[in-house]
Amino acid sequence: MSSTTAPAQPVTSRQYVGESVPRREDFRFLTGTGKFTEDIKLTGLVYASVVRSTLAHADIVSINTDAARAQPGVVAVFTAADFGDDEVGTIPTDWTLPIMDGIPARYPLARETVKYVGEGVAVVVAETRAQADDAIHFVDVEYVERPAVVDTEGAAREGAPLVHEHYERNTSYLWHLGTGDWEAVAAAADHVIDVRLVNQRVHASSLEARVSLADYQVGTGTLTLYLGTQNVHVVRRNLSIAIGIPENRIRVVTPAVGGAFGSKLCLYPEDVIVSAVSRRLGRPVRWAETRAEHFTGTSGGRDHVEYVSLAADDQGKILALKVTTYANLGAYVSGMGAGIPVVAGMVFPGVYDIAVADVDIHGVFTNTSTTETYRGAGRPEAAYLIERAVDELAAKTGIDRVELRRRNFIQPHQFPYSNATGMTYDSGDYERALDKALDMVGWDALLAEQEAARTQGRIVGLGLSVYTEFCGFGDAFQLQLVGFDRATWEQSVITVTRTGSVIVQVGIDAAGQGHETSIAQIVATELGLDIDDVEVLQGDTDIVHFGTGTFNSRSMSSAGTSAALAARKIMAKATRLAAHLLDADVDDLVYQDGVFTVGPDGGRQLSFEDVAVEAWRGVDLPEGMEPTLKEMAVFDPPAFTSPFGVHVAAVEVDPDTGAITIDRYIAVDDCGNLINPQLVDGQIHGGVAQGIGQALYEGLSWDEDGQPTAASFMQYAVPRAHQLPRLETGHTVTPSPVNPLGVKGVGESGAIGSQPAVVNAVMDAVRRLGVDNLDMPLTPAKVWTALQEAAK
Amino acid sequence: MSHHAVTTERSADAHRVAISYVLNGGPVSCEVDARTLLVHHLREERNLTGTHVGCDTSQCGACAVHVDGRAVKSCTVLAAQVHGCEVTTIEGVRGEGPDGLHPVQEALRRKHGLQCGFCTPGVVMTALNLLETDEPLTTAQVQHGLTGNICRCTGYQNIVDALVELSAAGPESVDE
Repeated sequence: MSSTTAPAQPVTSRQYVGESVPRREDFRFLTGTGKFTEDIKLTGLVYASVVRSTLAHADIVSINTDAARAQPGVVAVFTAADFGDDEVGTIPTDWTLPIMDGIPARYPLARETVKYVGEGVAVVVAETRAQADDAIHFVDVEYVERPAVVDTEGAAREGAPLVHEHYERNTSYLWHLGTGDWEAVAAAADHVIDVRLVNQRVHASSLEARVSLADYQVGTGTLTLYLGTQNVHVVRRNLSIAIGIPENRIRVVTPAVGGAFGSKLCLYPEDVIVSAVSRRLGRPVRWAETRAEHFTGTSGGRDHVEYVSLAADDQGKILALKVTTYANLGAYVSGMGAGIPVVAGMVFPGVYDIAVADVDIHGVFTNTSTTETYRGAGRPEAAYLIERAVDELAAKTGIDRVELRRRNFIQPHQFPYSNATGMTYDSGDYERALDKALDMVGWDALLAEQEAARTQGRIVGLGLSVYTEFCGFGDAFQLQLVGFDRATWEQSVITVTRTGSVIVQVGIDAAGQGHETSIAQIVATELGLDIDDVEVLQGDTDIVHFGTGTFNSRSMSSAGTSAALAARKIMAKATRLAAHLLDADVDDLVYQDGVFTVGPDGGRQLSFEDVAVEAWRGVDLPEGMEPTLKEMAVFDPPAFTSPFGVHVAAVEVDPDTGAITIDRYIAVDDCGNLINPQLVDGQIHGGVAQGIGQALYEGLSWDEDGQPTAASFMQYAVPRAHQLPRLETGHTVTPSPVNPLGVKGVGESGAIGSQPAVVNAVMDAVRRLGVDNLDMPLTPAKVWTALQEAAK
Repeated sequence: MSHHAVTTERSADAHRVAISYVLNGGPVSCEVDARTLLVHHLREERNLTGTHVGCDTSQCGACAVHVDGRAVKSCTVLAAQVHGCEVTTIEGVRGEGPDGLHPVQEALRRKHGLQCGFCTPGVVMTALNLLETDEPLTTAQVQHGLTGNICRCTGYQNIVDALVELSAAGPESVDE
C-alpha cells in the first residue's frame, strides 16, 4: 500500500479486508467453552417438555393432565385452556401477501384442533429434564380424527379435505407474476418443452436443535429469553405481540448458535410457551428440542411441485417461460413462509434474457409442519427449475447445452437488468464465470473421457448450472408492496473507549458465519487500527437495540456496510479533533497505522488513542463538537445484490446399485468483493454440501395419514464426510454497485448452484439410456428402478 | 466398559448407583441415577458443557468423549458404566500451542475446519483417536473415520484436509 492519503480514507498497512484473517470465534468452540443456549444454567431452573399431537388432523375432545401432575418432580402442566388471551396470543408472522385472506390463527398450544403431527397440545414442567420427559406420557389427550391431506397438489384440488375450515379451499393464495402473452408466443415457437419437477421438502437440520430459555423477573416485570436465533429483534417484537409484554421489557439474547440456515429465523411456539410459563411460575424455564421434535416441528424448506415450460425459436433463443408452482406452506404460515414461493418466482428466468413469463404460484395448506426460509429460500427452487428446463431444451433441440446457455445469457451491458418476473439484477458477467468453470474442469477433455467410458458400458455424465439469485433484502418499498413486514436496513453503533479500543454493536446474529471476524476486518481497516483493538457485539437486544438480523446473505452487504459507514463517521470526527489538537488544517493531516501526523514528513503526531482520550475528556474540543467518539450509521439497501456463478459436476452411476458418485465438482461463484476469502470458501463448501444433500440424499415426507416418515438422522440422510466430493472453488469478482463495499453475499450461493448441477449431470448420464426424468433425492433405489424401467 | 458395571455398588436407592472414575485427570466419586446417560451426567452434573447433544440416536457424534482412551458417543453410554474408567472430555484436551491448543485443534483452526462449532468438540475427540497411527492417513481413511460425526456447516473438506495434513506430518506432531 502507498504510505499517505487524505485522512477521511485512511491508508494503512493494516488492510484486513480481502485477507483470510483467522476467526476469533474458533478458540472457544475448539475448547468446548463456547456457550450455547442449553449450556446456560440459571438458579431455580425448571425444564419443559411438550406433549405433541400424534395425529395429522383431529379435534381435541379433552385433555386430562391429572396423572401427569402427580408424577415425581412435576411442577406444573399447562394446556391452551390454562392461559388467557392476554397471556398467550397467536404467533405473528412477517410476510402476509396482500392477496391472502389473512392467516390462520396459530396458537403456541393447540386449542380445538390439531393440524399436523407434532403440534403442541400441552406442556409439562418439572424439576429435571428426565422428569418432564417422563411425565408427558401421563397426559391423556382424547381426539376425534379428521381426514388429513398431505399432498400439495391434491390439497389444492376441489373437494380436498380442508386444513382450515373457515377457508373454502386449501389454496391460501394464487400469486401471478410475469409479462407478455405466453400462449401466443408458445403457439408460434419452434420448440416447446414441458417438465414437471418436484423440489422436495428438506430440513436445515442444524446440529444444534432449537433451545429456548425464558427468565421472567417478577420484581421488575421483565422477561429475558435466551434463544439460538438469527434475529433477536424480530423475536422481541413478535414475542411482545404474542404475550403482551412491551418490547422495552423484553430482552432477547442469542448465545452461540449451532447452525441455523434459515430455520431459526422466526418466533416458534415453544419460545412463547416457555416465556408464558416462566411468567406464571416466576422461575426460569428451559425447553430443549429432541431431534425427533426438530424434524417434526421445526420448519423445513422447499416443497414445491412445479410445471415448467419453455418456448424457443429454431436457434434455441428462449422466447417465453411458463411456470405453475404448488408450494406447500404446511398447516400454518410460519414467519416468512408465505413469501418464499414468490421469491422463487421472481428469479425463475435465472440468468437468461427471456422477454415473456407467465408464472402462477399456488400457496397451499396441508396437514404437515410448516415451511420457511431454508438456505437459499426460493432461489434454489428457481435455479433448479430453470437449469433443469434449459437442459431439457438442449436435449430437445440438439443444441449444445453450453452454447444454448451462451445464446440466452443476459449480457453485461444490460445491467441493471429487470427480468420478466419483476426482479432487478444489479450486475453480472455470466460468460466470464462460465469460461472459468469450464476451464477449471477441463470440459471438452472430460466430455471425451466420458464418451470413451460409455463405450465400456459405464454410466457417466457431466452437468452444469448457471445461476443468479438476490441477496441483501432491499429495497424496503418494493418489499412492503408484497407484504413483507420487516425493515430492510441494518445499523451499527461504534464506540471508541477512553483507551482507544473499539466496540462495534451490530444488528445481525451469527450462527457460524464468522461475523465477529469479518465485521472486525471491515472496521479495523476503516479505522486503520489493529484488528485486536476491535470488538464486535451482536445478538443481545439490551446491547444492540435495533437490528434486522441474519438472513438472505445480507450480513456483509447490509451490516458490513453500516459498520463501515459508522467507522467513517468516527474517522471524520477523530480527524477534526486531531487537527484541532495539533493546531493544523484537516487537509494537512496524514493518518497511518493509527497515528495522525502533520504533513507527510513526520511532523507533530497524535495517536488514535490520544485523540480518543481527548474526545472522552471533552475539555479541548473544536467549537460545537460534542465529547465522545461514538457514532451510529444505518444502511438501507437501495436494491438487491445479485450473486451468480457456475457449478459443474461429473458423476458416475453404478449400474448394479444405482448409487451415484460425484467424481469432480467445480464451483465458480461471484459474490462481489471478498471480505475474507477463507470464510467465503467455507460458506460455499457448506452450501454445496447441503445442496448435494438435497440432490442425492435428503427428504422429508409424510404417509397418507400424515405421519412423518423421517424423525431422526437414521431416516433423514444428511451427508457424511465420505459422501461428498472434493470441491474445487473459484471466483470471479463483479463488485455490486448497490453498496459501498461492493459485496453481494455468499451464504446461500452454494446451496443454489449445486442441486441443478448434480441432477443435470445424472440426467446427462441416464437420459441416453431412456430415463426421461428423475426427482430429488436421487437415491440408489430410485435411480436403479428408473434404469430398470427404461431398459424394458 | 461393561465389565466395570458389574462391580458397581448399588446405593440404598435402587435407582441410584455409586460410581468412582477419573474425569479429565481428576478423581470423581458420586451417585448417579442408573438410567442417566454419560452425556447428561457430564453436562448437567459435572457442568462440562463442551460435550454436546445433537441427535439422541447415536448418529451425530457431537457427544464424543474418550473412555479409557477410546472415542465413544456419550449418549450411548450410561454414566454408571464408566465406574473405574478414565474419561476425557473436550475440556481435558490441552496442547502446548500458543493458546494451549492441541495440534488437532490448531489444525482445525488453521484450515477453517469449523463454523458454528457445535460439532467441533466431538470431531476433536474422534480425530484424536483417528490420528493414533504411525502411517499417514489418506483422505478416504479420514473421511471414513469421521463417518460417525455429522457436521452441517463445513462440508467436511476443511476438517478432512486439516487431519490429513496433520497425519502426514507424523505422529510426533499429533502427540502432546
